[in-house]
Amino acid sequence: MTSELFAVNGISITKVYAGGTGDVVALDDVSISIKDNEFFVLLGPSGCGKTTLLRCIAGFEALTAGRILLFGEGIDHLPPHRRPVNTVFQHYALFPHMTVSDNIAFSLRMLRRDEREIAQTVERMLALVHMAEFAGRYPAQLSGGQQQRVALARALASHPKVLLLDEPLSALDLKLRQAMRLELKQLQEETGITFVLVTHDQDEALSMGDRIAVMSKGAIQQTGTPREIYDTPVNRFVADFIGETNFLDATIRSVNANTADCVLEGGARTGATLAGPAARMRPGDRVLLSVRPEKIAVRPRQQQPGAGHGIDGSITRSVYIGTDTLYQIALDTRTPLIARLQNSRQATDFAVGEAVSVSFDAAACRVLAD
Amino acid sequence: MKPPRSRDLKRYPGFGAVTWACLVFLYGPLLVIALYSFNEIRSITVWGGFSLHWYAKAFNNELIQRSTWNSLVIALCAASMATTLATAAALAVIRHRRFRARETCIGIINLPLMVPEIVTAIASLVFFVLVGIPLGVGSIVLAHTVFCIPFAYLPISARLEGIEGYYEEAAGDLYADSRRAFRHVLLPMLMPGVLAGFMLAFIISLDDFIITNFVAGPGASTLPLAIYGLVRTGLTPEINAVSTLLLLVSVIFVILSCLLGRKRYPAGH
Repeated sequence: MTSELFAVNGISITKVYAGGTGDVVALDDVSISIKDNEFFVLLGPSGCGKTTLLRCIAGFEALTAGRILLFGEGIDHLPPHRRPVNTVFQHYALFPHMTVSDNIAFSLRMLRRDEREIAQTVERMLALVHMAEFAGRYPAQLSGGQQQRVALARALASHPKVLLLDEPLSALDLKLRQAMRLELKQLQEETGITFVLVTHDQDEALSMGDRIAVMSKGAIQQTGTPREIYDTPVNRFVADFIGETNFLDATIRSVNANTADCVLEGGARTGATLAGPAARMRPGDRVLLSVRPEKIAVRPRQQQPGAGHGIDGSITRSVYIGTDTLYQIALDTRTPLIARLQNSRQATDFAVGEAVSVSFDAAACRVLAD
Repeated sequence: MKPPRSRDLKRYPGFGAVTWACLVFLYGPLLVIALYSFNEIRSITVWGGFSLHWYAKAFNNELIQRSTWNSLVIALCAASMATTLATAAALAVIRHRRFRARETCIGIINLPLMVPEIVTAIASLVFFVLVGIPLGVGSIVLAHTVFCIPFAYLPISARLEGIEGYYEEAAGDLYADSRRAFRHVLLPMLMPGVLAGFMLAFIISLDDFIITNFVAGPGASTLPLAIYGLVRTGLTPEINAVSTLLLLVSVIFVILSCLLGRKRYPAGH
């Protein structure tokens, strides 16, 4: 047993939907540990199984195999109404025939709490989400953002052990979405409740999550802090899905501790970081490298081609985007590359067609496991 | 968006004539009936001035009183039972998509709409006699319940189809077991459909003649049966008066049923 007591512990969760044309594996042997008082994000494209995983925790889906523990206790045999977790639904699912107050009071009434206590809690919840003056309204009389707040208050009213949020911001417009991110984060910190949020929006995940699990094809590809996920992606999917990146084909020449000396196509050499699942790579292996556009340095080409760690290429396009300029560079090996340079005072402007030499630190270049 | 002119139905040749013909044939007779119920003289074809005395006469007719009371009791009982059964059926068929005989069930529920009424009437009579159910108000209620189910089922199932499954999930998530989720969330949301179904069933039962005529047995008369009996002894504006009232009740119920079926939750300010 682990020394730490996790809020949610998913052990080898498998979910298979029996379909007419064959079985669909929605979750394939997924294990996950979500810490207490953590803002945890399940991130992935649609159909990756993130919502299914959330619904398994809520109890709306029965597991095909595996176990789910809530603070150490198995809950997978319990129906949803016996699980001390609440959900904020994608479409809020506010009860249209009840006022805002009655919606928020619903879980407390179902738990047969004292009416006076219910009134107090409802008042506290309304204040928490800044909706006090809307207590007597019906959901249809509220804007999307207001409905969202009521849905949060309703789910938090009974002080669940874990709050599950299923793409809660997807129905809001951009401005509101960005404001709600901060509010959600704040709400999590204020209440101290473990939040598990499902989203396909990487900005949302990076800005709110304490930790993120990136999912694809019914499996978790990588779990880590936003920085770990962004800076040290373990495989091509994660590197590609989070932010922008450049992929380079290379062959490992030698390995020294965490750093691999690699030869790119065309013969240029570069250092690259080997960690995580990629650590098993050996000299001679053909690998894929990932370099973020902002980690690339671009200089006018030196007299001696190939000198030092420079890789030769030429600018094919330049796009000014305010704080930065994006340069599209064609390496001499014809591999396209994107570099993102900050428009600071000393920045050099490169003209389209100009011969340049690009380079990056070994620490900024990752060897991907697959 | 308006359809392109050439395909606009209103521009087809004869559209106006056909429309007016339909309206006249459908509603002309009803208008005539209603109009002559206010006739001063006994004729139902010659106008002799305005009067309400046929209504007074109809209200004081003991046969009409008794059969109206019968009709109301029968319609109330049959509509209540049919609505309850139709609600249960709609829940089973719509909320449990996996269950195997689903299509067959929908077919069986709606079958009474397709079977010729005279066949149902004879079959019901034979069945009641065979099983030993005495003919009377009770047998009429049973027969009406059966053919009212599909009518009650229509608005209830339409309403239920429109209620997303996540409301029940939300109720469950917020600690309501399935019984309380139904009582506090699904049923209130379904209510407009249930009421619409009830009203439709009520009217269908109130209006029925053929099946009622077969299974009524001696003595248990309903309003349509009474009217038919009166017509056989000669048409008088009294019949017009009773028919007009029945028509009025039907129209009110159908309108209410439609409005309820469309009911939305409070929106805007």
